[in-house]
Amino acid sequence: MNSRTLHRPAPAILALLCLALAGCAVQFVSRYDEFTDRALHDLHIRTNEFIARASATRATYAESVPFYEEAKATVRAIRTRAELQADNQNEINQLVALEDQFERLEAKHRLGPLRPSLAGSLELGFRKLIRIQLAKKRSVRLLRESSPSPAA
Amino acid sequence: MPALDPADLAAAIAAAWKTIAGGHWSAVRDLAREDIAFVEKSAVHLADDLVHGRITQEQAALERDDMIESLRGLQDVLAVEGKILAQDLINSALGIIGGAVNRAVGFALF
Repeated sequence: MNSRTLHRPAPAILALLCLALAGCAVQFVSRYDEFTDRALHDLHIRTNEFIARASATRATYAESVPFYEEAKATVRAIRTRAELQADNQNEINQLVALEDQFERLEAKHRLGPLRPSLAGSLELGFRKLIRIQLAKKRSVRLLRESSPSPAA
Repeated sequence: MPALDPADLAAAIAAAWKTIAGGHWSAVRDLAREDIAFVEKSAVHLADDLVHGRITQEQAALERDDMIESLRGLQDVLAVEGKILAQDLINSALGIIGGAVNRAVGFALF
């Protein structure tokens, strides 16, 4: 047997081995949820379509109320699902912020016609949530790529 | 029965960690590059609309405040990236060790 084998394992390896023996896979962030990802993607598309249309037609706030109500209801539904998952506080924070951003877009629209330049902060809100979904998705892929071959 | 070699395990873990850290690092780098560039572009469009009278000063001021508030939220994205990085590094090491133990004992213990 090689002298570097089990007789004197490095302390870090030993600590990890203990965790493995205890059957612990750690989880600091909730798993990737395809429903959330798809729902956010759909809302993002609908929002961009609405902003382009409202800007082109100079739609009034009153004419646009149904869109705002539907968008906020969608965010609340996504948030409810996010709240049911453990270790998901950062995503929940951003969903709360997204609903606020829809309300603030309404406030800007009440003051006059909507322009895409007034929705940059809302777009940034979507980008943050999309990045969180991508990070969760990437975690699944990277872990698969870096995993060892199964036991012989 | 193959022996468990800590040096081999450490090398395998280091290789896996390099892949994982590289993937997360490029995501954080893209976040900094792309989102900051997006904010810059948005500010230019906002100023242009204001100068040409397409939006009011009040609307522009609200959007400026909203953009600053939205930038604060980037900490949530960075927090998720950091937590996932730590989670992936630990779980990949556990996977490698578990695989080595399984090979050493000759059956799927983990």
